[in-house]
Amino acid sequence: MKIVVCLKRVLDTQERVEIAPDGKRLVSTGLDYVMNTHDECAVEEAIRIKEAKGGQVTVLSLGPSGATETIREAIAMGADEGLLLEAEGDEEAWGPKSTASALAEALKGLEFDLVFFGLESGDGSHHQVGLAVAEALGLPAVDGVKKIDFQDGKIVVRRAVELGEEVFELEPPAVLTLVDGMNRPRHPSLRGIMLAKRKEIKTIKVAPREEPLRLIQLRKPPERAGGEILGEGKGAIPKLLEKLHEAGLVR
Amino acid sequence: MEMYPMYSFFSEEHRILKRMVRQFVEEELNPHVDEWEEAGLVPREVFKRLGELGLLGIRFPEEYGGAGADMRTTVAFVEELARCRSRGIVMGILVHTDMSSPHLVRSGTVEQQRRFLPEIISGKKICAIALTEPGAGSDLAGIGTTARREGKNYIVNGSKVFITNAINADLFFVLVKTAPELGHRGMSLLLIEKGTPGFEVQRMPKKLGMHGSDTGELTFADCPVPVENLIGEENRGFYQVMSGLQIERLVSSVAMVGHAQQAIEDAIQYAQERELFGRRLADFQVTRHKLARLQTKLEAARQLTYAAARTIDEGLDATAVVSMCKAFCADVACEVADECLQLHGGYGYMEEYDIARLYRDIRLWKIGAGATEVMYEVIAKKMGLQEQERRAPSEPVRAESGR
Repeated sequence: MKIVVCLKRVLDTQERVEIAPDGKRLVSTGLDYVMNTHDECAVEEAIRIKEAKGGQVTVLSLGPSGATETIREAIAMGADEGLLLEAEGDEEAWGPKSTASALAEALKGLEFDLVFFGLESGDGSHHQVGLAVAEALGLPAVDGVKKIDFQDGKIVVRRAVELGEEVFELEPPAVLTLVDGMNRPRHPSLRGIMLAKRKEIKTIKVAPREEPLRLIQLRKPPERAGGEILGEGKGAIPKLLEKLHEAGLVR
Repeated sequence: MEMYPMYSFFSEEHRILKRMVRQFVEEELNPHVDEWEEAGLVPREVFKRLGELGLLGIRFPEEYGGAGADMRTTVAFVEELARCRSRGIVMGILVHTDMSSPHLVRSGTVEQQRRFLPEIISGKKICAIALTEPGAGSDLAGIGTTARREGKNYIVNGSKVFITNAINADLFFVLVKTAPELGHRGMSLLLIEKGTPGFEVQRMPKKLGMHGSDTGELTFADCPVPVENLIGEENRGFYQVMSGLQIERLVSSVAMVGHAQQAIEDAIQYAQERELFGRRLADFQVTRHKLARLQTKLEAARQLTYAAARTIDEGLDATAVVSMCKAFCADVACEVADECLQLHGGYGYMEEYDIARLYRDIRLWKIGAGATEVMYEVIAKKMGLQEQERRAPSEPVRAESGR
């Protein structure tokens, strides 16, 4: 099974992240980027499939030259190859559409049975790129996969929906977006890190195509008012019910 | 991971390693530290897990399972390991990785390395180093443990105290006198295995801090140690130990910086939550300046650890810079601990916050791995300031014509 995992590096959410003065980007006081959480699970899932069934895992990322670090992290976990699409031009020009089109173009040159994405990125949270890539390649896609099984040459995937799950059967090639929590990503070992260090990451420079989506302004959520203490213990119940009725939360 | 932007001492692989170790500490060590502090030692499984992640042989040869990496990689590892909420556990791990087993790589024979290194690197066997005795610590040449050659064995007699990992360890690197009449030129390093007849270990249970570490006393009574367990050359043990101390002092300094950084981060969080006189603690300028001053000193200490690591990686004599580093980091870390405890007020004195434990733990480092006074002696010597023999009172003082 040949799997390509598309991943993105995002600002470490443990850092203090602020909105840049131009109001269009997030900036961090530190310099640390991490692998997007959903993508980490996608890498883990791909490596598990490779370990069980053989095959190859290739990691593909679009980003600045420093994104090789995130690609190497995936290789340290157990992926085999890495390819970086080095993004030229303004950060603003790289919206979901232009990113998906660059990734789709690169995927045309790669051999694969499955393409994995994390459900969405932890920074932009557009939740578009995976599906737009599937669309561009004319491939079936399942969004929000929480489990993948292999039965009689078919791929059986489950996605969580409200009150239950949907089960799909598909044949490769296909695109899946995977959700955080479907597995527990392994720690890369130091041995893996040292192997990844020696691995050459193929880099292709890409320019943005037209991006119909423009980000105008990032805003912080309004400050939340402090809570209200209605009382203590059982005595607070009537007042609490009254408030819940007022808010239309109970009838 | 950084609090503010600064040139990076680390490369890509170091940053990946740092994130891995940080996660490992948060997920697999910190949830259990209270239990391990209570028990007074860390379960052996922790060493095996570290072995699986490849963290016990960072600079060791790849043929035995090591990573063949540099000192910078060790610094990256230790900075993050130091975020463990039990500094005693950190010390136990570092004694294994950087204070004892490197002697086998530096001075051991191929046969010895083949025999012991794979199990040391995988964490199946745990190491300790035994130098200090009841009557000799800083004055290492004054040790009294002897090893007398008898056929195929050395017969070891004597005792060692304050030995970290004493209960857990399987392999003890023990400094002995093989030719007592030759002073420090008659000392050797023996690898003594747990279970050797005449070798006993007793726990030294009551310490100010470092409760997660198993400290013990070793006694040797006519203990036969096979001659093939001599590490390095006979009678060269003192020099071997001295050269190993540079790495021991550097890694302990890096650990101190990591501990102190965590103390500052905790204090920042506390200062932003705690209110008094209707304002947050952090809204008082005195609090902000205090923390800024501590962070500045700590950054200077950290940069000294980087300079020392670089000096070692470049193969230069690191004695002076490492000694400065050890003395300075211990001073700064103790100051940080004291000031951050003060910032917590009464809560700082209670076990509820980590700062109480950190304050106790960190104090060791002005003593362990070379007391601050010894560091200053080494530095002074490197500055050309050597003590001269005391003159007899009757002898007239002659004018010196300079050096």
